[in-house]
Amino acid sequence: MPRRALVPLLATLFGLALLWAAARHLDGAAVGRALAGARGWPWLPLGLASYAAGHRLRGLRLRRLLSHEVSLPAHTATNVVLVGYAVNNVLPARLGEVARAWFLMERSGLAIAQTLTITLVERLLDALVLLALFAATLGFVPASPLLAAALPIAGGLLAVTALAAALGAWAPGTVLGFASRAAIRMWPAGHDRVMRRMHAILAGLEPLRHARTVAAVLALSLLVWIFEAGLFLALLPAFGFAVVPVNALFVMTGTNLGLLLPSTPGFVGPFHFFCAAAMESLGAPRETAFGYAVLVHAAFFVPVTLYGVGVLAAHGLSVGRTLALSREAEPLTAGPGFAGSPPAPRVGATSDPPPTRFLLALAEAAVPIDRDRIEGEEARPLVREVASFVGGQLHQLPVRLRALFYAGLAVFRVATRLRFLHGFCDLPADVRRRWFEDWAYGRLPLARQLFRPVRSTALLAYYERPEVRAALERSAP
Amino acid sequence: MKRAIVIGSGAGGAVTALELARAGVEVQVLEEGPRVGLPDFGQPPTRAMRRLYRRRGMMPILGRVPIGYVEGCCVGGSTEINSGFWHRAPAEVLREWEERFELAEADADALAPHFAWAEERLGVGRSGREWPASTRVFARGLDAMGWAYEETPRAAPGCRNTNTCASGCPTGAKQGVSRHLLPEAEAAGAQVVPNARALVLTRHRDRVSGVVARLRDEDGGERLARLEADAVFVCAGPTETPVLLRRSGIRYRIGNTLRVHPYLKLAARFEERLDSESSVMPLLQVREFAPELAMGGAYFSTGHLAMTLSENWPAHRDAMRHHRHMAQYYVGVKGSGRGSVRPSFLSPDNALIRYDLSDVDLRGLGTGLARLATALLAGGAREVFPSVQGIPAIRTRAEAERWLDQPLPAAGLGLVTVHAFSSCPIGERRDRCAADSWGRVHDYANLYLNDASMLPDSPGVNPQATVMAFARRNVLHLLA
Repeated sequence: MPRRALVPLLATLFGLALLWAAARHLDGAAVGRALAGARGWPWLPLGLASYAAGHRLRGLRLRRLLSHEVSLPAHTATNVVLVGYAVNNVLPARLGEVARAWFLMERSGLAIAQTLTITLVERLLDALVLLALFAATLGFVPASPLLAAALPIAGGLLAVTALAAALGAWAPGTVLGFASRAAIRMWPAGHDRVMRRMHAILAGLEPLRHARTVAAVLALSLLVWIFEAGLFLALLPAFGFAVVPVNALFVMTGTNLGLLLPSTPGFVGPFHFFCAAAMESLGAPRETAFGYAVLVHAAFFVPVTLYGVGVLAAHGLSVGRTLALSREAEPLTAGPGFAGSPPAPRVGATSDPPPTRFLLALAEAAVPIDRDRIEGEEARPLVREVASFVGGQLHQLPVRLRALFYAGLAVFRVATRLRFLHGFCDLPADVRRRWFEDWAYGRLPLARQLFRPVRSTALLAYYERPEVRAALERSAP
Repeated sequence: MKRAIVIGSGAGGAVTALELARAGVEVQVLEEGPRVGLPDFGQPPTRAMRRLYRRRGMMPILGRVPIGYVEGCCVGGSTEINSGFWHRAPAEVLREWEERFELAEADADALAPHFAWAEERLGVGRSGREWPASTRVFARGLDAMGWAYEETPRAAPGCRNTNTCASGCPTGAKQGVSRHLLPEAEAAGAQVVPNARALVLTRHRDRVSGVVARLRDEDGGERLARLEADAVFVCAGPTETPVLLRRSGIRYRIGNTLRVHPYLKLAARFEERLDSESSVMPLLQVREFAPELAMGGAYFSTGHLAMTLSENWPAHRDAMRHHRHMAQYYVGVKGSGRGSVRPSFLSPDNALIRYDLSDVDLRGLGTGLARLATALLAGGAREVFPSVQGIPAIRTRAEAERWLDQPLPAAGLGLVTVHAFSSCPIGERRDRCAADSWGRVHDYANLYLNDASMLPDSPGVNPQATVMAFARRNVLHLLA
């Protein structure tokens, strides 16, 4: 057996052992009855919403941890987190952490050693916060002597790891010096490579040097776990338990601390063992506690796995697209005889599609056609020209912005209908203009941003027209 | 090296192609945009945007404060649509880059011959003509303030003040690189292929074997082509270079450190008639606060004036009647924020650009607004209209100086920029840079960067000169 398979195998065996421990002597029929009697509505959607919010916060936390290096959009950071969770759900031994670091490397352009370190830092912070929360709950709920005894041991281990990380963050010179001397003695040929890796690792610890970042990240970690406890809390009444936040916090922290060790895919076994044990210590009947653990696990497992696999599939599609492109392309040889070289065509101005009625109305409202006293036959082609240009320009916005823009316009149209009981196009011109200006130049920054591209491009096109320039000259003082 | 592909034909790509071709290398320059000649230049702004600008000028930079950004997409790149203003990178900036990025042989002395070469090629110099009215009133204000300023040298010998810089110079006075540099490269054997968009780089181990490009034919038809070469130079600009590299799976330190010069425009109304639309933009640049703060003249058309006024359109639209008495100016900061460039997830051919304006930038813009407005009022301006929503016309010195202490409303700022760079910085600091000091991308033996994306940080001045000097330095180093 290859050595690299040993850790996943041992982890899986460990997880299965815990599953056996959790499930032995259980009355299967009673567990089934507990699950069948659980009320999913509205508790499950509420729990899932809280869990999703926790993941968004995890994304924000990762973004903050990376802020010294790279500006990662929040949704990308959230995707990175979810990919890690999804892979943890399908592979054993917490290999999702490696997948998470790899995906972060892909998305951020940082070195793998650095992204692994950042992942470790995240995990370290998670463990610290979990431990603190768990210790806090012990004042309110009766914990088993085993858990109480494990607490100082886990705390000690975490403290040592945190100290090592702090040393790397606060005394990078010392660490680098030590690494350099060690590499020269033990592996002189690999000295540069070792130092490069060490640099990347220390860069991953860099956020720990900044007090504000550490404070923000700790606060976010606290919120992350509070929202995760929301899932546990929401499912308590589903099984007829009282909604006691401290109980949910206790079960959540106890369960997650138990999951820190590498185990089975999706933590099947350890999750059920620790969750059921925590519930039992709160006085829940054994079968109900196990049923509760099964439902919470399913809520934790299914959506994240589906979403994460979706993100990975989309990533795979983009990689596949690149490969497909290079296969599809015809080979062309370079050089003066470059047979496939096209001539240099003169590309004419792109013609814009005809504007919609709504766009015509918007364009008319955006320009001062009434003040400039351009009317009738002169006005119509002018507005059409302006609207056509605006439409063509809007079409060039990046896809995501365009989608947001059109969503914003839909809101505007609905608001118009609610306010006037008519569509925007059906309003009198002066009312349309005032309503447009209320949005485009009003107090709401979001509304102003929405109409910025419309008003800017409309005015640019408008003042380029000869009839407008003539009107401008006529009105000059 | 026998064959090389240069992706992009702007300031960096043209210099790269020329020097490679002169050294006997078979060069192909892939340019996404069309080849546009003098007869097609000088069109009204809306038509020029359709033909010469990437995404017709609709490239907003997202972030805390959105910034309007434009770049060229035609043979010659942004050099065809800029104003030809020319600045060497300040010596202190180069020294800082050497220190922070361990950039080798890049001090002012090392770059001087390359700057001089480019200046000679492009005929860089001062106008030597009487200043237009919009420049004279600006000078009057700067003299009243006692500030250091200078007429900015331009790569536009014999400029006839047609005020069409942003639409391509129809007289050929402005030296976009399509005017002489690219024709020289073609004469030396380089082949410029317009309408050819590089989609992806093909890789094999530590080498890039070529490029897959989409070629557009005369009749509008498209086809994919795979080109092979011994070396590939990516000169596609600050936004397209990182997108192409990332799309090709090359991501280390790519697209993470975009910098820009955020600019705030001000329109000023004077008593005298300026006729800004029929003369070149104000030619002066204030040196007093450089390189942190820059002030100068901005492009003027009635459409652009309306866009500046549009931030407070209901209150300021009547000012349009005075357009013949108005000119536009800008205040810009060096840019201490940071941004990123990524291929859009939904549309990987497009760049998603982000930049987070820093508090320092915001303060700098406020201070700059106060100072510039004060100078314009001292020069005789009756009203100054900043492109900031919620800030009324400034009519007195006290109204202007208010912004020395008071922060500008970030949500109301209408910022623009034409200067972006540093998305793939070069230097020996592997932990900060995408490529080595000479533009060779880390971990690749034959892949080079040679455009504005390689500048390690904001130069604080118009970057064209710096890009051209670095591009030539890098190629000559490689050929040596």
